Amino acid sequence: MVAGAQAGASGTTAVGEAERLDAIRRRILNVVGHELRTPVTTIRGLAESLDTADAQAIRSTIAPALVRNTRRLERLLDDLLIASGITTALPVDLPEVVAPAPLARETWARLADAVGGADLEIVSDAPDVDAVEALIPPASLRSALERVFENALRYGEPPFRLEITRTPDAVRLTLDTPGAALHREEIQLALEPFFRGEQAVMTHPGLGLGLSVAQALLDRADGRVWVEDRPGGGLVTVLEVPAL
Amino acid sequence: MTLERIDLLRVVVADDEEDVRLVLAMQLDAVEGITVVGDAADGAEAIDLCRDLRPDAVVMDLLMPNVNGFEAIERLRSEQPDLGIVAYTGVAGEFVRTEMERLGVPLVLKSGDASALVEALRRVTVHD
Repeated sequence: MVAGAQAGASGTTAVGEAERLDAIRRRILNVVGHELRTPVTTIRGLAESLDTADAQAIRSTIAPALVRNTRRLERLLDDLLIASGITTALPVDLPEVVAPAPLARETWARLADAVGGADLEIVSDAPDVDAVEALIPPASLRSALERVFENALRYGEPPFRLEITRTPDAVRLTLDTPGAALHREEIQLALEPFFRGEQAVMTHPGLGLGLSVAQALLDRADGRVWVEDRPGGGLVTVLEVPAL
Repeated sequence: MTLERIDLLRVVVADDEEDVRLVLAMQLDAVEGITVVGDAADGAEAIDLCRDLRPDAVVMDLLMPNVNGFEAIERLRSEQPDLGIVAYTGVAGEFVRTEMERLGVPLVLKSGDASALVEALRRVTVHD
């Protein structure tokens, strides 16, 4: 009888776990479906307009929009594979000597331009921040910075500040992003694939993969990513990469 | 009861994705009897545009920064009861369906084919 009761409890637990996993599966498919839907429907709408659009509109408006949306699909594919632990989508370049400051400056400028502009202050305790060097595959660091910066530009508020410091073995990039106050659970789950904050869900589409992809990229390159609560609201995101 | 069909529908489109606004404008402007008179990148802009332009209808995305579509719909509904509103979304989960049903707003899933959207716009702009 005791054994029967144990089997029953175990069965109930298994059912509960199956329901939990099913709920996760549905949530993931829901957000992936949404993120796919926008570029796919946009591409279809643009493609169907080609018949009636004039050559000037095709060159100046439609073709660039088609390129933007196919790039978005490519990125979505990469992020899904990387966040799922599929290594085939990871950058294939080898570690090189990289100066993180110029790379961060260039990456931020490109992303900030696309959303109407925002400044990033880069500070360091080193005499020349541009001379601080790391040993990492450049594409991995660039891609990780892209995810972290996109997150900041999307959910944060200026002033944005990146501090670059040297430890004995590593170069640490600490991005200070003021913004809305986050719950402790949101901070704890920020690196979980497909996790999205309470405010973010209501205001921005997205997969909730940016930080987890950054983590996967740097893990592979012997680096790491973590987040900390920011006093006054917002998030502090830290990327640590091997020093030269 | 008489039904009056508005001959030229003046429409505002609200979506935080620039390319979605671009495609919507192209698709709707290509439909005889519909003209897009303005576009907004969030709910606050949509409310301001509807106040300024007094369109016949607004196509409203739901997940937008600043003021989201849910809130913008509620505010426009109280300010301009005759404004036709169509929710246009890539997400139609239970919460979205229930909320739009409660607000009496037709929900159209984002699609490369605008016919469902056009039909909904026609429907919400037919007044008693």
